[in-house]
Amino acid sequence: MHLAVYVLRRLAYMLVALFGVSLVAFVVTRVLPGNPAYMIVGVMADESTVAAVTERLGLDLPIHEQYFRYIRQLLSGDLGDSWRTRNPVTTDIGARWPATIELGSAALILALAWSVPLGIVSALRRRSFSDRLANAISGFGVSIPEFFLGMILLLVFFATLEWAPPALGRTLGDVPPHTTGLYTVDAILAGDREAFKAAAVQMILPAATLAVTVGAPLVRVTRGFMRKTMASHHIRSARALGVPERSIVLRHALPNVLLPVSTMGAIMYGYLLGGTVLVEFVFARPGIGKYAIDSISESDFAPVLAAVLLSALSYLVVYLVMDILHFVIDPRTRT
Amino acid sequence: MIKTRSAWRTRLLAVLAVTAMVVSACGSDDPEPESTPDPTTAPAEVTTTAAMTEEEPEAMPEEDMMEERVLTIGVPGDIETLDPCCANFIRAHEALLMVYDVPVIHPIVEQNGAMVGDADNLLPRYFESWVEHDDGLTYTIKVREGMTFDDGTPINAETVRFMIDRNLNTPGGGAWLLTNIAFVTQPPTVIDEYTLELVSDRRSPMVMQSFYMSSSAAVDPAVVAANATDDDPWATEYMARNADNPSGPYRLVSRSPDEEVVFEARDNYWGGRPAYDRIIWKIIPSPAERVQLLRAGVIDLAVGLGTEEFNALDGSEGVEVVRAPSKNMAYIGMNNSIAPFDDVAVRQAVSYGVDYDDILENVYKGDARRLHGAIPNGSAVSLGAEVGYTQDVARAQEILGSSGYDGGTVTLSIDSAKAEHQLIAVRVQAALREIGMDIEIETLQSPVFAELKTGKQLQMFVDELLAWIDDPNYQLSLTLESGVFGNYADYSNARVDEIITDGWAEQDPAARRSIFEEAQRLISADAPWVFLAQPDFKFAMREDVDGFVLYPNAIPRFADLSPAG
Repeated sequence: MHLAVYVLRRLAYMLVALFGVSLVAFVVTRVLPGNPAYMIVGVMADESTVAAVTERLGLDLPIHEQYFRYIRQLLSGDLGDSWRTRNPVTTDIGARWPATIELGSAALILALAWSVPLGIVSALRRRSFSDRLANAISGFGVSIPEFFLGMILLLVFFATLEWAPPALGRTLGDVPPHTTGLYTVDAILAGDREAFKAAAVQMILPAATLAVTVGAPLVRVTRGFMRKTMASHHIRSARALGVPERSIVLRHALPNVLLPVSTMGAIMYGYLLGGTVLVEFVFARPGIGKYAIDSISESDFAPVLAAVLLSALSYLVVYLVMDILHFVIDPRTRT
Repeated sequence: MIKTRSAWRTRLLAVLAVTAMVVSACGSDDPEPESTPDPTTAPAEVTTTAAMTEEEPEAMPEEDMMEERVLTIGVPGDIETLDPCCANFIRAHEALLMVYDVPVIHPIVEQNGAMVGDADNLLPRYFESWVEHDDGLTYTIKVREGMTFDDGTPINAETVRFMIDRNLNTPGGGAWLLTNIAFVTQPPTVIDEYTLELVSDRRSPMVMQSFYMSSSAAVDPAVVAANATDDDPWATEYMARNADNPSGPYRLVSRSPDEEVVFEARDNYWGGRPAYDRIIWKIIPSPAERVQLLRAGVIDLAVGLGTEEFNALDGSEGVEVVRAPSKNMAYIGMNNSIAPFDDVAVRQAVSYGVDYDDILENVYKGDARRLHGAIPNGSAVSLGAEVGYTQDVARAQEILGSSGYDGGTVTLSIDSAKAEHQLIAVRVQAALREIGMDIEIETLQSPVFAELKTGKQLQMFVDELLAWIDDPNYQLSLTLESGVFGNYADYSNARVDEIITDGWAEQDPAARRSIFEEAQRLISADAPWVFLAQPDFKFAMREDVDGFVLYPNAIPRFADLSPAG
C-alpha cells in the first residue's frame, strides 16, 4: 500500500473518531443536570435573569439544535466561549496548551531516559538487584497517585532541603518573547539563558513526578518485550553463530523492542498532552488539564467539550505519527 | 568495583524514596471564605461630610524608598470578571476593590481584638456627602472633588449617573441591588458637576448601603463608550476582561491566565499612594501548597483556606491567623413544601434532634458561634439565644412521634465543593438517626446543587448565607419572604411577609426592632431551617503584613494592607 493512501485512510478514521467523541461528549454534558445559569446569576437575581442567561447560553434550545449549532461553530474554527473566563475557548486554550505540551514533552523525555535502560537491564539480568529494583520502582510508579508524589517531592526538595524553587507557575523569571508559547524553547530561540534556566528549573519537579508515573509502565513493557525477544529463535541463532552479546542486544534485540515501546510511549504522550490535571493542580501550572477540571466543576460546557476534543485529537495525532513511522520501518504493516 | 558502586547508588535512591514517602503531606478542600451581614441603622437624615477614610501614607525612610514593596498573595483561582456590574464571585470582587473606587465604606472599629467594618455606619469615599430629603425618597449626593481616573479624567456627577444607568441596564448584582434594595429604577439627575439628585420609588433604609458593594465602582464612561457595540451597548464583554483607566488605588498591569495577576500602585490616587508598590496574585489551586508557601515566606497571604489548613498553620513561625466573628450563617434548609417537612412538627423535631455542640467542636474546631435564629448574633436586632433550639433528644422523639412523619428516608443534599458541609451532613445524619429519622446524604456538583436548590427541589440541604448588608429587611427579603428567588426552603408565613413589607418603610429604630423581633420568634417557631453556626472569618498572613479589616461582606480589601511597623 502506498504511504499517501495509508495516511489518507487514517485521517478519515480520525475524523470519524473525532465526530464520535464530540457527539458523546456533547450529549453527556447536556444530559447531566446542572444549568450553569444558576451559578452565573448568583443569589442576587430572579427567575427572569436566569431565563435570560439560559437563553444567552443557548441552553433553552432542543439538544439536537444545540449540537448542530455547535458543529457549525466547530467547522468554522470556533470552539465557543467560556462563561467562566469570558474568553473565546480558542484564546483560553492557546494560552494554556503550551504549558501542557512543554511539561508533557519534558516528562516523556525524562520517563524514556530512565525507564527504557532500566527495563533493558532488568530483562538481561533476571533476578538481579537491578531487576528487583525495576520491579519495585515500576510498582511504586504505577501505584502512587501523581498528586501525592508531587506533594512529597515539594515537601522534600522545596520545603525541607530547599533545593527546588516554589511551585508558582511556569517561571519565576522573565517570560521570554512569545514564539511557540513553550517558555524553554522560546528562551532558546531568544538566546536568553536566564529565562531558559528559570523556566527549566520550574519544570523539574512536575516533570520528575510525571516521569515516575509515566515511566513505570514503560519499564514493564520494555522488560517484558526484551525478555521475549531475547528468548526468540533469531537471538538464539545469533548467539550460536558467536555474535557478541553487546551486538545481540543493541543490533538484534533492541530494534524489535523499540516498536512496542514506542507505541506505549505514544499512548503516554497522548495522555500527557491531554492534560495532567493533578500535577498542574499541585504545581500551580496553568495547563489544559486544570482548565478542563475547573470548567467541569462549574458546568462551563464549551471548554469541557474543547478539552475532550483536544485530548482525543492529541491521542489520534500521536497514534497517526507512530503508525506512519511503523509503516515506514516495519514492512509487515504495509500488507 | 563498578558494579558495587552502582548497587550502592541504587540502594541509596531506594532509601531516599522510602524516606520521602514517610515525610508526606496531604491536601484538603478549599472552601471559600464567606461574608457577613451587619445590622444597619437607617441612614435617615444623614448629612455626612466626614473625613476621608484613606489615611495619608507616612513618609518612608529614604532607604525604604529605594526598595520596591511587593505583597504576594496566594489565591485559589483566577478572576472571573472585571465588570463591576456583574460580579458574582469572590475573586472578582477582590480585584474590583483594588482597581475601582466605591462611593461609601464602613468605618473601622475594633471588635474582640480584630479590626472590622462597623456595619451600622457609613463613611464617604467618592461620595463626599449625601442628604436624605423629608419625603424619604429623594437624596442629594455630592461627589468628592479632585478625584480622577488614572489618565487624569475627573470623576464627577456624570460618572455616578453613568454608573447607575449602566447598572440598571445590565443584568447583574448591581441592577438587583438598585431595584430590589434601594428601589431605584431611574438614573439620578445631574444638578451640577459634582451634585446629583437620586430618587427611589419606595422608602428603603438601605439606599446608601447598597452603594457599598463593588457593583457601584466608578468606571470611566469613555472606556465603556469606546468599546460598546450594537449588540453590547454597555460593553459588558470588554469590561469583563479589562480594567482600563481605573479609579481605585491600583491599576492592573498584567494578567497571565490561571497563573498570575499583577497590580501596580497609582501615584495619582486621591487617597494617596497605597503602601505596597505592587501586589501580585499568584494562583495556587492547592490549599496545601498555599499553606506550605506561606510558611516558607514565599507568599505573604493565603486566601481561601479551610479548617484543615488553618489547623496545619497552628504554631507556624512568622504566620498570623487573623480571626474575627462573622455573621455568616451555616444552616440546614428543610423544604417547607416537600414532605415530611411540610409538617412544622417534623421541622421542630429535627431542630431539637441536631447535636449543635458536636458540630461546633468537631466541624469548626471551636472557631464558630452558635446560630440561634434567622438574624445572626451581632446584628442590631438579633434576639440571639432568646430564640431557637438546643438539642433535646427526648423531646425531638416525642414531637416526631406525634407528627405526620411516616419513617421514610429523607435526602440531605450537599455541595461537593464544600468540605465542611460534608462533615456537617454526617453528624446530622448520626444525630437524627437517634430520633428515628433515616437520612441519606446526596453529594451534588456545585452547578447541580445550585440549580436544584434555586428550583426549590431539594428536600433538605446544608447551606451558608452571608448577607452583604446587615439589615433584617435585606436578610429576610432575600431568604425567607414568600416566593422570593433565594427562599430555597420555600418558607411562607403571611405575618413575616407583612413585617418585611412594613420594615422597608419603618424609620423608627425602636419600632423596627420590635417588628423584627416578632419576625424572629415566628420564624423560630416555624423552624424552616436548622440554625447551626456562625463560623468565624479567618485569614492567614505573614506577621509582617498589617492592616487587615473584616468588612461586613467579608471581601478582603488588599489595597488597605501595609507592611507591619
